[in-house]
Amino acid sequence: MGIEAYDVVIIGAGPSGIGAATVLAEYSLKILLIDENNQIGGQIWRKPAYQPVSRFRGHQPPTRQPMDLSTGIGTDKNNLHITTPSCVLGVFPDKHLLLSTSDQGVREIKARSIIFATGAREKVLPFKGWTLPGVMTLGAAQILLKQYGVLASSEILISGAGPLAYLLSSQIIGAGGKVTTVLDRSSLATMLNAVWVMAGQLPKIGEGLLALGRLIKKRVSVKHRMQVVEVKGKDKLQEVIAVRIASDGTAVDGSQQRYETQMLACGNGFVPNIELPQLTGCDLIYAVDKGGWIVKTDRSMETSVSGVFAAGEITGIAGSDKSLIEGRLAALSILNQFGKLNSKKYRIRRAALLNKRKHCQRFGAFLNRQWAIHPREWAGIDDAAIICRCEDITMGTIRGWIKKGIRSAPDLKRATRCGMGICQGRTCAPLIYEILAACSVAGKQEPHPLSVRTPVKPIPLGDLARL
Amino acid sequence: MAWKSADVVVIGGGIIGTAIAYFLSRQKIDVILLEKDGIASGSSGACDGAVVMQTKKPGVHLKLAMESHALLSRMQDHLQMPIEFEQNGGLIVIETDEEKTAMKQFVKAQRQAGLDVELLDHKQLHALAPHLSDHLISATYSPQDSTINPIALTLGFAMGAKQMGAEIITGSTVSNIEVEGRQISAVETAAGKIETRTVVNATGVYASEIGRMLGIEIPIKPRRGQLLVTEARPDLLKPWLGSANYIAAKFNPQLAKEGAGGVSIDQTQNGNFLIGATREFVGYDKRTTTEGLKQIASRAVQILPVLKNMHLIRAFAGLRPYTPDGLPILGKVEKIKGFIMAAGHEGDGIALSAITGKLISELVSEGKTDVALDSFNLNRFSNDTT
Ligand SMILES: Cc1cc2nc3c(=O)[nH]c(=O)nc-3n(C[C@H](O)[C@H](O)[C@H](O)COP(=O)(O)OP(=O)(O)OC[C@H]3O[C@@H](n4cnc5c(N)ncnc54)[C@H](O)[C@@H]3O)c2cc1C
Ligand SMILES: Cc1cc2nc3c(=O)[nH]c(=O)nc-3n(C[C@H](O)[C@H](O)[C@H](O)COP(=O)(O)OP(=O)(O)OC[C@H]3O[C@@H](n4cnc5c(N)ncnc54)[C@H](O)[C@@H]3O)c2cc1C
Repeated sequence: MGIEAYDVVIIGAGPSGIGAATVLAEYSLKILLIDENNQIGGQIWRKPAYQPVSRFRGHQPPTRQPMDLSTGIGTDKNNLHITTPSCVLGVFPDKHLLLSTSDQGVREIKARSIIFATGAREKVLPFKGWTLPGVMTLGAAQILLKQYGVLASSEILISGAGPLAYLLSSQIIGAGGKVTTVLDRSSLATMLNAVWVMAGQLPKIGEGLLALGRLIKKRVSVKHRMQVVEVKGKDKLQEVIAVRIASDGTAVDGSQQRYETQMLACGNGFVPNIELPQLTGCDLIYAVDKGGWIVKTDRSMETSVSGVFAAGEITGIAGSDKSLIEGRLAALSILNQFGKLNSKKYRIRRAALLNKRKHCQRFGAFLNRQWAIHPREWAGIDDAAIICRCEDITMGTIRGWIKKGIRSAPDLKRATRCGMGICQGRTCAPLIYEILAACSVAGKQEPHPLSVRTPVKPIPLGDLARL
Repeated sequence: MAWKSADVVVIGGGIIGTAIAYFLSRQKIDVILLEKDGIASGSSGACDGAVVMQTKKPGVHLKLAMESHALLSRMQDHLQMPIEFEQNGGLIVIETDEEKTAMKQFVKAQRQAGLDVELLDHKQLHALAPHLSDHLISATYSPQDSTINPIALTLGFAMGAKQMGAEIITGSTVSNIEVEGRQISAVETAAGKIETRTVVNATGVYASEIGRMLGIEIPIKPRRGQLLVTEARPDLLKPWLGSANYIAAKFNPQLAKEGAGGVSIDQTQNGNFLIGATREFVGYDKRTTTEGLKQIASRAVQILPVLKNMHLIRAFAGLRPYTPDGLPILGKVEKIKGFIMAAGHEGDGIALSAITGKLISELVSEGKTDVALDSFNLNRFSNDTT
């Protein structure tokens, strides 16, 4: 069977991927936009939430983008091909990609240029018992609501930091659910500071105020600087225990609170989905203020591998606006490389976008700081807390190996099997980098990312055999 | 000024180097092990864990393997790391009458060499491994065949050696070896010089680089093997399994039929299946290929159909330290005093680790070994060419 070739393959159809596709679709190029979700939109424009749950209309621009795009989709005129749900499993030399599709099985395609726009996933600060049924992530609760119109539970306790905790609370209330308490890891001052950082981004402030308004109206108690340290229950969640965290990262004596609940949604920020670029050999950088390991790019969004671009959350967590800008930037750079956009026009348009991006990056740095976990907080995590959920590796086991002298994530993986299970470290790897940094006594060390293997998501062996 | 000194410096923190350091320190010999990356970061961290006797050539090769097996079967008593040694037997499955004839010969020779191995008929085979495809007409079976966790074993050797006084330095690359007259005097690393009169080259696929530092040609080159790992499931396959054309591919590439490469399947203690492996000469390229993955997956599914619906969770490639005759290079190197080779174990380094460690430590401490190492000496290659 022949290998289908495209001028540009875009992996991920969130704001960054869609941003790139809309720019490229104007030109006579053969483009493929791939997303593993059923529909395009990414995290923020997850369908069917196109009709916003809120009646607040202040934040319109993003929701318009996929609409524009969907009218042009599938028309051969544009040569924009979209495949969903399709997952890119691996990247091979010469920009060959292994793609798993719902209708055509596993197949190989190739590209002249690739744009990685694979977004981010959630990060959770682990605590004892977090694998109990009844504990889910903020994003999971949001997906249930946005995509399937289902409330995780009639009552829910929310814990975490950053906008998603509040946004989700507001969405749940808007959909008729009840939020019992919000435990916010960050301080009230940080939240007020957010307004300042977001100055100039009125829609975001509007969204935030709407969320707060709803919480106040429903008398939801919001507790600051509280972190869940343990959950209990027989077979399923019954009780959540939280403590107040002082600014030095230690738990405040006597601050323990207990909450009875059957559902807890928790999350502590996002980490970039860098697996595919890493597999491709793109250089990475470890930047705590950008969300951990990110893909290194130049001003044209090109990675260290020529003809391979990265855009959106994978170059630094900063939200949808930055993603959209970077998607467009990557597309313009490709047009310029392909000789479809002259250098002068390219530079002007690039400069304008780069300028806009600065504001977003400032917001991003603020967000990531808010999610930062103090080394002493890691020290406070119970030995029994599971870190690698696939292989059941506990904090205690990891501490033991650090005591024995292990300093790098790959060494820790070999010694304990953490990161070797079915999720291939998607959940635990970001935690391990931080644990090693926080718990290792030895001086500064270049952190080492865990290696990434094909396939980045599991597939049945039979599908591969039929390739 | 020298940074450190030691009686013996072992270069390489793979299964071979750590086994040697372990056995040396058991003899109370003062040893430093230098590893450029992390322990088990090379071939020994990217391989299978077969300690299988049936795949060894009858003769010295099988003899070494059987001695190594005996050592490994008792190793857990000495190591803190759980090394998952399991003697669940091994099957070489047979698909055609032609293969059956060839395997009959092989089994005969192995039995003469003292290996407990027999030919099973269709019924016996399927009783032993009920999930296997019905098209497999027969198999050879040896109850001695075993498996081990290669990473755990390497770490176990390293930790054991350390406990007995060996110094293990990771993140330390040997950049040069100093010689006075014809005698080794020191090795160089970025951190400084280590004085020593004995150096063991246990750098696997990199052994020729170390040789070049001394002007010695070592005919070891990397032979890539791609390997698949599935999600974990409860017991579906007890013995280790290889296909008859795996044996063919290993010893005689011409015999391996086109398009039907050899395959090995092993279910680990954790429940994951390890499915291997390709044999390719592509330099130091450790990437996987779509052809490689497809080839292994389709052969594995043919032999063990339940694999069809099991998820592949990762695929990776390791490099086997290949030698032209398939045997490792062990022992003293005539040209340079104090230079000892222990590399080139190709696809058998895990199985041969313990015996290699034991023999090299004997060679260092007593100047001679229990088993004669003549047929493994580097000079067997120079004799060929001159
Ligand atoms: C769980 C979660 C919930 C969020 N909710 C909100 C919210 O409500 N409001 C908000 O403003 N921001 C939200 N965000 C922040 C979000 O990251 C940004 O708003 C924005 O969506 C980022 O755009 P992006 O294009 O960089 O990535 P994304 O929008 O995340 O898009 C990346 C896309 O790539 C696809 N993809 C990834 N890997 C593959 C692969 N191997 N093969 C095929 N497709 C692949 C994914 O399916 C995804 O659709 C959320 C983030 C997360 C992780
Ligand atoms: C896919 C595959 C499957 C296999 N399956 C099996 C099996 O089932 N059973 C079996 O017995 N064998 C198997 N093998 C073979 C086995 O993996 C090797 O024979 C064995 O790992 C070789 O060990 P080693 O210590 O010689 O090499 P390595 O493990 O590669 O160790 C050499 C070390 O030397 C270090 N080094 C190199 N240069 C320097 C320097 N200048 N300074 C310092 N350090 C240096 C390297 O970093 C490396 O860690 C398999 C191999 C592959 C690829």
